[in-house]
Amino acid sequence: MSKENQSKKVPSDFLLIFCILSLLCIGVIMVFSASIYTSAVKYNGDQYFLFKKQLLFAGVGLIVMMVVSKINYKIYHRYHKIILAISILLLIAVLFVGQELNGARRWFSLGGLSLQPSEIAKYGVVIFCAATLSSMKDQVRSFRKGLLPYLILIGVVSGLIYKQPNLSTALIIAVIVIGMVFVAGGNLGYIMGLGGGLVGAALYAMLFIGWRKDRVESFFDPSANITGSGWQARQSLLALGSGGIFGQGLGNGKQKMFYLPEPQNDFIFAHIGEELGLIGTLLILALFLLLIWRGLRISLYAPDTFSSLLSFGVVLMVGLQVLINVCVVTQIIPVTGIPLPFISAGGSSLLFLMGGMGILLNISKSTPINRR
Amino acid sequence: MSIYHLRRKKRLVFAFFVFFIFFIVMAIRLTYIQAFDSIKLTDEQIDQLMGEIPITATRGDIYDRNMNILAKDASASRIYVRPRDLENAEEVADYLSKILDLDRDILYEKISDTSQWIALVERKVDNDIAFEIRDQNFKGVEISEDKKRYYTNGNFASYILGFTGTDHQGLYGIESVFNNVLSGEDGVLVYEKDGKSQKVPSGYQVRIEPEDGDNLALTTDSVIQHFLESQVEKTVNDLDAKRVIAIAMDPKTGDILGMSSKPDYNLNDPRTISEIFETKLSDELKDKNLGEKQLAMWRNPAVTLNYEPGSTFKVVTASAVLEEGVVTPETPFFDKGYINIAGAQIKCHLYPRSHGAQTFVEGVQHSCNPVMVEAIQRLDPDEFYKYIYNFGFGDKTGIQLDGEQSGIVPANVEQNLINYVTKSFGQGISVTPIQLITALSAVVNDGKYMQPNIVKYILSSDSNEIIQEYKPHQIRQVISEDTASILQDTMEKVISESDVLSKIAEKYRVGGKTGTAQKVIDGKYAQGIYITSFFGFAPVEDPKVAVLFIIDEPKGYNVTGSNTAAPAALEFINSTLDYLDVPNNDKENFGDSSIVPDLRSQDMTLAQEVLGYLNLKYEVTSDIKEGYIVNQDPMPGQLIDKDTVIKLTLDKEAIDTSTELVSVPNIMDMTVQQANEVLRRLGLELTVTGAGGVSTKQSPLAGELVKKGTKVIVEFKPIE
Repeated sequence: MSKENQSKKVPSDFLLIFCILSLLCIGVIMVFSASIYTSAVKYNGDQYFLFKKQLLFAGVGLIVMMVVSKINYKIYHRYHKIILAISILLLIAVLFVGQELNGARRWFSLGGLSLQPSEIAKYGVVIFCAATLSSMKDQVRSFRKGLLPYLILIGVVSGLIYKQPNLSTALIIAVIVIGMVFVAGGNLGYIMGLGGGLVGAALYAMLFIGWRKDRVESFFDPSANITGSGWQARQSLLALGSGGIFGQGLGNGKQKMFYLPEPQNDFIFAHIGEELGLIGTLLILALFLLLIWRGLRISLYAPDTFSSLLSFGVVLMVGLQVLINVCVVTQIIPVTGIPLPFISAGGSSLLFLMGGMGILLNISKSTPINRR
Repeated sequence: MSIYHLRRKKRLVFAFFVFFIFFIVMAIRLTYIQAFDSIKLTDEQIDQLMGEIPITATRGDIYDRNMNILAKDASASRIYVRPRDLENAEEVADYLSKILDLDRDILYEKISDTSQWIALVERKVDNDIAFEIRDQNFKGVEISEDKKRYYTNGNFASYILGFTGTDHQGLYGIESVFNNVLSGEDGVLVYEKDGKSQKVPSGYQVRIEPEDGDNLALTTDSVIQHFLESQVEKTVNDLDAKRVIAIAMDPKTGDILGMSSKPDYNLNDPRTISEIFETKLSDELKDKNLGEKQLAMWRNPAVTLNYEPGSTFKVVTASAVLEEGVVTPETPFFDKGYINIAGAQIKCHLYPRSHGAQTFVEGVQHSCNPVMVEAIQRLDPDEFYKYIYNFGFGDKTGIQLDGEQSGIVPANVEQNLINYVTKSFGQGISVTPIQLITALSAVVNDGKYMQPNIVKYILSSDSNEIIQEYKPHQIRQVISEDTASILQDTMEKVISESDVLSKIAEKYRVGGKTGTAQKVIDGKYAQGIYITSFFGFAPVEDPKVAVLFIIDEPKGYNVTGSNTAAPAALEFINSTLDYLDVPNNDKENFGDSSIVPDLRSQDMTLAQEVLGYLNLKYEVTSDIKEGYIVNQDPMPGQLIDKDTVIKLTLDKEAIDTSTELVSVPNIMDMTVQQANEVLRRLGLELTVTGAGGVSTKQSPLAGELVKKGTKVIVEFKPIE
């Protein structure tokens, strides 16, 4: 913390930037090949529509990352309460004035750009946790200081997101909070109890509530729900399987022709598997693992506890999304709509993600050279 | 470094370790799917990508013997809907249900079911209707190629041809029996389809062409078929019969020249039951649902009707007894009007009069029951049954038509005598029309029983080259040429020695045999309900055509084969032989007689047409010159010279039968019982005068119009 002056001369983490840029490039190319068939139908014959959009957001995202990497991370510590408060207010607001889509209110529509309050909430929670946990020492092991406030945080934020409804994001938030308490040195007994409770709550929500129940049932018996989520999961496997080891070649995928749901979005990993094969999918997994490793390394050598916890939170957020997305696509878990970071077509979510990377880069620049 | 920092760092490393484990799991799972399961999943994907559209093969044409077209395929359309692409299912359902005449609610349910990518709405839609649908430019409504069967003339030869079902498969008649020949092999268009079942524009496409079905040429002659049908139609109307069935055959080859039964149905609209069919066959159709009624309508009576043939069967009996030598043509018989068998009395149709002394062939010619009964008793039943079976009764003839019945020949076990002897005049045995004409044609054909045949050739689809020919096939010689010749002479006399029939048949030498049988209804002989029939052939010296007319329940009093079926059959024979350019007997000077048609209740315009067609003169005697005919002179059924002027009385309105006016029948030469029966059927009452016996006088006179319930006074006198 005392070597701030030196940090300005430290170059950013090269490997991390390499991962981000590689994933972004793959994303733009694969969104192009995934959407070329459906865009021609959906957007009045403009088969480049989603490609152009993705290219634009990737460019803007890079600018966002560079800008954010210049912002000193300590500013987040100062405003952590306000940021959380705004997040919660937005989550409340979206329940009333959000765009309704398929019975869910998750979005604000801001002149062509859609904004998901849950994206902001993720950062709000990460920053709040990092700020509060970093100032505790042994108190983090106590129930009153180290557990109760975070239980309440999960209850409020995840509860609101669950209301939208968006179970998978609510779970991600809860896991982030628990993960941060864990890394901050929380009581293992409490954490394990909390984790157990979370698994129980998730199972309850999946097994006994309406459409989620259908998805879970179709997960175990895909033939029972041929046109719904069973169909989606099946099409995802067909895409991966028909790709084989070397893939059918870029642009040659068949599943993108209205077989895969959202081939440029939640199921883009299956689409990549079809066109680029096992080699392509393993390469992407390797890039993500490298990114997580570089991220955790920044957290490990961060200049202070706050920045360490903050960078861990960001990495955990990205890593969890990768895990859930790939597990859905490979039918390890039931279908749920989480995009693949950097690669799936997306607007505001990509910008937030790039912002998160900016924070990481800023922290890595602040890390003293002898510690890296 | 503080303990907290150390702990945090340890836990960060642990977190990475957890991530690492998860990534390994995902990598293993991916390897499993993409390396080990790849072939299976790729196969499944290929299956799913393949779209197939069947291309219906063009069904073979059906021709008559002169290659006139009878049935042909034409291009039509199939209408599909993609429920998920519809913008307004309500509107589309309204429009399609109206233009395609479908049930709107069922259609709406089908096209609004978005769990289906594609729904077939209707096949075999006429192209002009399909174009109209296409011009509406509904999104999600698609049209593809199909075939539809057209029959050149809806009702023409309907029982021969049959029709096809929704999948273009033959369902009845020739269409069904020769389905394998006609149907060909459907082709298929295999194409790459996307997840919405739409064809991928740049995708692969393989077309396997259909193999068209072969053509058929029938043995029927459309001109002869036309003569037959119009005569059948006329007979149904004239006699107000329930049904008339007729078959024309070339007796030397067994080829069917024509076959008709009316009322019938329209091949281009085979599922609609015509009103006339419904009324005529109301007895059989009541309490039946539409499906059962349709089945009844589609059944071809010419091969499916089992009926008691009556006197036409005497030719078979005579064949047997003559061939076996138990009688000779000249064997003398004496008919006293009846014969007692095992305590029962079998009457001659002349009873209470009689034929008196006659030879055997005269007995046959006069259709005398007692003679037949006597003759058959001289024959061993086993021998008689041999002839019954050799003439093809009790078994299917094997004609290439569907649903054929075998008739009913009760087993030759020890039966009581009465049941045996009645078979000699065609009672207690049931035959089908096709069995009877084939059997009697064998007599005409010098005793050679020919396989009845309705298909002449199978022709190749492209060039009409003969692939297979159905040649005339003699099955057996049933009786000797000599016996056959005796019976041909006898049958010729049936016509030539009848005043009425010989006049109709004067142009050619015609032979024939009439039949009048009481109908069996619910296992009993129904009083006053008859099946009359006539078998005829001509010319006797070199038979070109044999014909069987069967009239089911002709209305009127004293209906017999000779006053109902025979005139119709003879008219048909005349037209047919003219058409076949058979040299005639040059009796044209005597050819100027005709039977008076029934014009009563007819519209004057129609009557003029009919009279014009028959070349008859007429005059209107009433003041009213337009409207309906209420009376005519002479009355229908009378034989007149061509020069006779038919006087017609007209009125503005037709006599409605419900006004309860009936025409008094002729009740001469009847017993009290018979007269009572005839009058009661018309709703008239009988008042008996005289000493009993047969009727000699009546009042009012025959032909007068009286109200129902009027008393008719009849005087009866004993026969001298």
